[in-house]
Amino acid sequence: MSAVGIAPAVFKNGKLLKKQVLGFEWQPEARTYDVDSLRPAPSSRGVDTWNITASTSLDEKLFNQKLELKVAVSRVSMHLGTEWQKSFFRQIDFLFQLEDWKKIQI
Amino acid sequence: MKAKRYRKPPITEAVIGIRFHEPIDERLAERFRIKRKRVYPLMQELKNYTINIEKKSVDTDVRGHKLSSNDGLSVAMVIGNEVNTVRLAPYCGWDDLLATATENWDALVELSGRMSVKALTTRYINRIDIPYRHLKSEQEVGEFKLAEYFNLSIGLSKGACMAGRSDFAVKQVSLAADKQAQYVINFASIVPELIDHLSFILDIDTATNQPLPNKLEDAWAMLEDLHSKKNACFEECITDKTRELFQ
Repeated sequence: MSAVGIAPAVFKNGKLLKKQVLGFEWQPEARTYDVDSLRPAPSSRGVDTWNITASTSLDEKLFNQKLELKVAVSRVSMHLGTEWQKSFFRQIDFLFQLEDWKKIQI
Repeated sequence: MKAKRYRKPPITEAVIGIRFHEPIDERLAERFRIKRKRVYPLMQELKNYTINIEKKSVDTDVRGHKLSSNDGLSVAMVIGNEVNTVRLAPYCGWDDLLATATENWDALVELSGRMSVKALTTRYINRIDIPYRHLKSEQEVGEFKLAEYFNLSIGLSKGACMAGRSDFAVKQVSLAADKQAQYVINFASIVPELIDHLSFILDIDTATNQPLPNKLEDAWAMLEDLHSKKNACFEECITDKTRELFQ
């Protein structure tokens, strides 16, 4: 399971159905069959992660991370509304300012 | 059919595609990238890798280019004989997508002269998130009634039921009633992006199914027709209970 957020614990008749975890929803594992190959890929699929090598500059790394986060936010943007989404994007830009990260590196 | 305007459209990706008779060569793709650099400053090469273990060699060949805006939400894919104009969520509406596709088309025509178009396509990928709280009870998550939300059905054997965590993928290829367009509908359950939700993908790909007119204006009118057909198809695939989720 990979839904991001805070999943509360769920009990039923004193039995734990779901653990409380931060970051991932946990559910008991069941035998599953892979039907992913049947699902069509999005039109815009490129490489899922940008190449990061030792020679990749900090500026590039930050930019790539920003891009990935914005695309991730966009996937739930219909539930956020325009203002929330813009606010998220502003926060992402704020968090990934090159000058701040240079200070951390030093 | 007039498009319904939803407050929270479930569209995760909207695409207008132009399919040419001839493949787009590397040089034209590069000139297109430079010409559209203002809109799409980022570029990724899409490569095929062939690994030969015996010879310990890796061959790569570029199969296309992905051009993106700075926020990654506006994309142009140049692959093989296709140019796709893509908008990721939040969807800004058909007029906006069409305007960008027109600009991409104009740029191509300016660079290469009139190109022979084989087909026009639209593709809308919708992700429909159904919150558990929308379901009547926890029992209903366990025995999810697909027919309450979708007019697409899946045949199950007697004694089996659709559970909230059932995994399925269905593909349907069909023609529009007037046979002027082809639909490819992919309907599948997916791992939800949100906690305490069930999620389904309803991916509707429409393509022209007839020779295109020479006049660009007429071809563009066919694109409008494709869009209307897609809207009608989407509305026919869902129920009022699903529509409530987008209000």
